[in-house]
Amino acid sequence: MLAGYYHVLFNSYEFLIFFPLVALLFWLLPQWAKTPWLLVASCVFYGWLIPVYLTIMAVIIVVDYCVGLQMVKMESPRARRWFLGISLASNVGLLAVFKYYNFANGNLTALADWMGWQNRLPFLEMALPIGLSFHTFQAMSYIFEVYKKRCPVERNFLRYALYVMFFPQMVAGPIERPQNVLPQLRHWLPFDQGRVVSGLRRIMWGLVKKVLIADRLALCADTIFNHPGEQHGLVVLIGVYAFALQIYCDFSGYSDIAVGTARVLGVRLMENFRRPYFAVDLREFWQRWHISLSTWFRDYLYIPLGGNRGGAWKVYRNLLIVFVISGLWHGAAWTFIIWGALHGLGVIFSTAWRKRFPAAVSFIGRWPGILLTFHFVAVTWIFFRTQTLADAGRIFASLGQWKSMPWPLPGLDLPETLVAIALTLILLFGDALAERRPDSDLMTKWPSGVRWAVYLLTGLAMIFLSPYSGKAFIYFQF
Amino acid sequence: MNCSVFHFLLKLLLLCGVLAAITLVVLKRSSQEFVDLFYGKFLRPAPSLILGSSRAAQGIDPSSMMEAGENNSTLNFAFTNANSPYGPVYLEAIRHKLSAANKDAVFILEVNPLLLSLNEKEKNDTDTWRENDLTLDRQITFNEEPNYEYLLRNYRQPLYKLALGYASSDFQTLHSNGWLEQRVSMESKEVAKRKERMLASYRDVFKKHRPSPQRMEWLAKTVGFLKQHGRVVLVRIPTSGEMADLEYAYWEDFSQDLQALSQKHDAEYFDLISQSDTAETIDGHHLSISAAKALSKRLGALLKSNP
Repeated sequence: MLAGYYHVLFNSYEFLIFFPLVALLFWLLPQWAKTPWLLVASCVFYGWLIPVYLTIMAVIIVVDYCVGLQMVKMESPRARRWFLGISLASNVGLLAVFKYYNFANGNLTALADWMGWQNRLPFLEMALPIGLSFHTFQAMSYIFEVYKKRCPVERNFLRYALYVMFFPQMVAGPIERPQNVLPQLRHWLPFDQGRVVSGLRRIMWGLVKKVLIADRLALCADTIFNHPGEQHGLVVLIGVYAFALQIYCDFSGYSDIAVGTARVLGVRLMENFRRPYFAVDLREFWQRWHISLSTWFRDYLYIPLGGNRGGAWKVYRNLLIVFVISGLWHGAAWTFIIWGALHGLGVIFSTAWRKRFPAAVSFIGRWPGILLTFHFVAVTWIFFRTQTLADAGRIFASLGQWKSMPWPLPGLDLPETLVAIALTLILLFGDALAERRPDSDLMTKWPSGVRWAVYLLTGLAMIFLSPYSGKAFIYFQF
Repeated sequence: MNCSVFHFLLKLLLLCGVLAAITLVVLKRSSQEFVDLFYGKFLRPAPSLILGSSRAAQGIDPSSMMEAGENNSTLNFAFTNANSPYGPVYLEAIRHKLSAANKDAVFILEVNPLLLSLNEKEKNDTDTWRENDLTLDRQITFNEEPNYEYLLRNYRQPLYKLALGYASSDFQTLHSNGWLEQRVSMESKEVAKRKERMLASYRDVFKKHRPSPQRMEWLAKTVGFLKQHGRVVLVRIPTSGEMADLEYAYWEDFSQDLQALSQKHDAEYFDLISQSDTAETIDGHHLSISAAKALSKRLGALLKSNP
């Protein structure tokens, strides 16, 4: 969907010009002008791709802003519910039209064919606006919080618009909560070199993950997943591992850049990843992977469904509903629904186990638990990555036929294979180190000469080691 | 506050400056040798151009044309069927490439059915065309030496490979006039194998394409633009007999259509496809070195004899 356009992506040359200009002017502007300036910058960032998407954003913003203002005037719960309904109808309606209509219509056509009828509903020929699922969910979190009276209504239109459109996180999260972001947009922090440098370091690490690791591993994973059924089991397994690492580096790299970019501008966004492949079971995995989405579903779907209240079976039902819907959130296809359902079943299993054996870290111990969880996640990514269930079936069928180990890795030549392995080891080492000392920023303790050498070497690595691809971030399609 | 901002910016600029200096020095040194199949075409402006697909990139050697009497400042600015089909992207690239003041240039436009076709993913809307976001579309500077923009944005390998000399090639040379010389084994079994693969692939390619009136319009626009700068010659160059048959089956009236277009726009049309039965190719598609030199001399002579 993204091919064929130049866009202000975090990993593009355009962003190298865009972001320093935005940040520089932001630091120099007076307090009152910072919000409008960032709003203009966000419009440019988003509208650069296809300007008409801005009108869709405008609809989301205006409807929810007005609903919020009206909702606080109402005392009766019934009237508040009406306004909540209006907001949900507009947000979910947009998602239904742009994301789910063709999927539903396709299934209807298949069903009608099977029953010998004819489905005359037309298919819509329009692209899904980038990040629509993210900003509708962020807008809905505001409305839910205002409805529950856990957050004051935002009366300043520009500030509310910036809450929805803040460019560091508007396209692929983290999906923020109004209580965290809106107060920060009211009182902009002054320039602080320590904070800015820490933000830039975070951006640098995110770019390393995305450009050097994810885009390189994508060359390997694409070779296998774009031709399902054509490779033997060992090659497919390498492709599965490559994709597991690719999607982690791609999405967590994006989140690092988003968090770092916001930090440079003085906004602290929530963390979206905590080294998920070190999770001992699937329940912990979802406390570490795409945290902002998991907590969104917990707060606005799982708890309203009944959450942990009621008997065990009711809890398991709620978990399964949440994960199937989460699968559907990721994409309008049966592959995503099955992916979500499998994770739901995995979480139910680990929840039941924890309930029965509360003292056990994992049902087979810490490291075996980590390995088992990683492999469950990696194998279920097959449904996430393949386009159709038939393709997923072909990939699984290939896993049964093993031949010799391919060398160099599929899709990469020998130097690229060595670079990919070296970078992956650096990533694992960095994550293992951070797992032992989660809250420490080691670099701040290093002598400045060493820090400068690291910055310089990383910069040179970004220029000389990055593979040609310019791939968009995977989660942009959602 | 502003003081601390500027102090910080100074340090950041220093870091960026060192990074940029190292990068530029390494790239300048690395780009002296063979970079890739396209890089040499983005270094200098040229008064006369050879345009078209890889068939022209490998099949027309400007220096052999010169031996036959054609002027020596022609650049082979032909790429591939994917990168340079006739359309808005190629025309824009040509505009950038030409030396503006020139009025007596010669432009050789290679034509083949795929250069004037759309594939199944391409709609009539030019936003969906296959050349978008490829080299010519991404490139902004066409006449810089060294062309840092090309190396940073369009070089299709990680740059460390260029810096460490992985890019050099024993079997291909991109000459400074843009001609791509491919030195591959011409042993008959090898050629037959390559030919079989190429023809099988093109049978499939033709199934996925359709002749495009829109592409024809863009060819006409290209001819119209180039006419302002000199003489325009459309050439259908020889390939293997089997490939010529495939093209004929795909677009039977291609030659007549091109003849009509060239007449309408006051251009010339040399149809050399009939020589395909005797043309030597390396893979059933691209001419061999000797065949390319012979064709180029023939073209030079034709241009001279039809002033």
